[in-house]
Amino acid sequence: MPVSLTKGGNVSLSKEAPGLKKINVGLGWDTRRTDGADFDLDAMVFLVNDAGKVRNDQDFVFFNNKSSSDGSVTHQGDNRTGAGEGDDEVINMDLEKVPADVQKIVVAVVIYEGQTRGQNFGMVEKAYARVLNGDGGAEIARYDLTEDGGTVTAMIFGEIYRNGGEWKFKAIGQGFNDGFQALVKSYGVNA
Amino acid sequence: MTQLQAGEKRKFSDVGLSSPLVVTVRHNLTGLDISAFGLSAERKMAGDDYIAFYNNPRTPQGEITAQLGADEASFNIDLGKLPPNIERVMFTATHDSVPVASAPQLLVTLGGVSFDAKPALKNEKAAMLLELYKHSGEWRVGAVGQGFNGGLGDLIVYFGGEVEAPGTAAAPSPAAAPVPTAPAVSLKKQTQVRLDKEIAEKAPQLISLVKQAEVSLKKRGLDEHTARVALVLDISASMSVLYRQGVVQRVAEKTLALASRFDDDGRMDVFLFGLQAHDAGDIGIEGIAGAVEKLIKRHPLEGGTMYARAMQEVRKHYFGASKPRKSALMEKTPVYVIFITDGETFDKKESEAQLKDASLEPVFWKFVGVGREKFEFLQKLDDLSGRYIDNADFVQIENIDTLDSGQLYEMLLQEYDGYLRLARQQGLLS
Repeated sequence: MPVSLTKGGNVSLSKEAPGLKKINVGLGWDTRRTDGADFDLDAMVFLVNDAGKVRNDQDFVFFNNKSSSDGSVTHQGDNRTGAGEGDDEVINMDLEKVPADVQKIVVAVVIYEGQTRGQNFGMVEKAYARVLNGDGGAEIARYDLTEDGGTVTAMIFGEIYRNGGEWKFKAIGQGFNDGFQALVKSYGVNA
Repeated sequence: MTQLQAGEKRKFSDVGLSSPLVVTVRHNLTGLDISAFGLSAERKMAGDDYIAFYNNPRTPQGEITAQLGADEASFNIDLGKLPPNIERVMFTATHDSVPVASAPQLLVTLGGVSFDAKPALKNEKAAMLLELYKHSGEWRVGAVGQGFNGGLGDLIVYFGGEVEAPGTAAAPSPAAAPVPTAPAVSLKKQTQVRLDKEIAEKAPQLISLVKQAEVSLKKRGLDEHTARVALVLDISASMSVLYRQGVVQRVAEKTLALASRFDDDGRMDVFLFGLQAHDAGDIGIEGIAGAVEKLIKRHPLEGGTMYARAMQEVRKHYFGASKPRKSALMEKTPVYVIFITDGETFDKKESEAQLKDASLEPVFWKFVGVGREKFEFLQKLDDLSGRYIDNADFVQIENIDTLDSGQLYEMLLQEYDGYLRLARQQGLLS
């Protein structure tokens, strides 16, 4: 049974799935059914250190940089086949390969041109983040953040972080009013 | 005052709201319909009863009651009384012809909370403004500000309502309409003698109309013609004045007078359409008095205009099915349809498809637009390409009630004689 999280809640992935080596983080939302510009959502991942900053710009993984410097995190882009069926975007994480100085992996989603199009997360229906076991594809945890959307165009959906020897997942649901730029800067990316 | 932005969602407790409450929508746009839809958690309709709108201002237990003015609508809502399957109440604005955002404002106010949906909208003719919804046991308010350029029909589909696409109609049944086998002329004569007697006895007010109908038919060489007459009436809410003032009843009488001259049994089949279409049975001389009032009691006015559904119902009635047709259908007796509406349809594509498919059937469509609308789409149907033969004509009648009956019959019969010739040439009529 996957663990269902609410905003702020966390779960130990290592305990839920003993022997966990790889995970896939699936992100999904309903496509727009009303008229107007489609919601174009992009997943972005930051590998950050103790200070909450990326070690270098390569650790900001997104559609133009699909893999972290060490290869531990890869952005699969639009997912149409295979693991994470039904997810709009999938990020693969090889936890064993994550360098020791990376404390957490932040998963965020930005609405592309959200501000100019007048779109925000409150308009997006059924947004969620879920963590799947990379080995076998079982769902370990899920966070439905539809109600936590708000009127922002950039949001941190969740974090995968180290806690002693285990990996945990936390449902964040925190928005950035100033969108993409503010989000990226907050993690020390030279954008 | 808390001003919400589109997309913003707040708990009732955070913004000082509680039930019962009053929601008002101030818009100042003539012809804008504001409605409240009771919906399931999944935003699906929970039945027609739980839509508070123009034609049904009160839900069954009075959970939602609407006061609808020209510039403003207000709703009294007791959320606690709603049935458990209704977990959302969505306030919508729809307009037949112009985008909702052309209203000077679309200001929704409830308690100390307000939301102007206008800036969030562009070309939508149907818009969701704001919703009240239950989440984790607590009611919340959400500012929506999204909608559909196509209008009410699309909104209804979004809410899980049915708008049939052409070709998805129920399984076809063989054409069951009996076609008279006796020689048309003698049958016609017998029928007319009987009808004349009936008119004199039961509906003497029709006698002069019948005479005028006769003259018009003769002019076009249709005095010996036999058809099956169908009267299709718009029952969208905007027609309400025409119903209340008895205009529709008088139109029905005029049509029946015409039908008494050339319908195969002197009765006309009546179809009603708004959001749905209804095969409403037939009306003869004996039943014409008060007929329209009775129809409207059985089928109250509806919030919507769906030509295609009405056309499907007519095709089903006479030809057994409303599915796409590949080859010409030949019958002895044509169907003559008088299709009366006061507004443009929501299902244009489907209507075009229906008219194209129907062009392979022996049926002539006389579209009558009443009032001052532009009726661009009806004009388009009149000239629609891709049909087997030209099977429709459109006339606009600003005031159908004051138009001279002789002129009315001229307009109703215009192009019909030409259609019959073409239909015979092209193998639709034997």
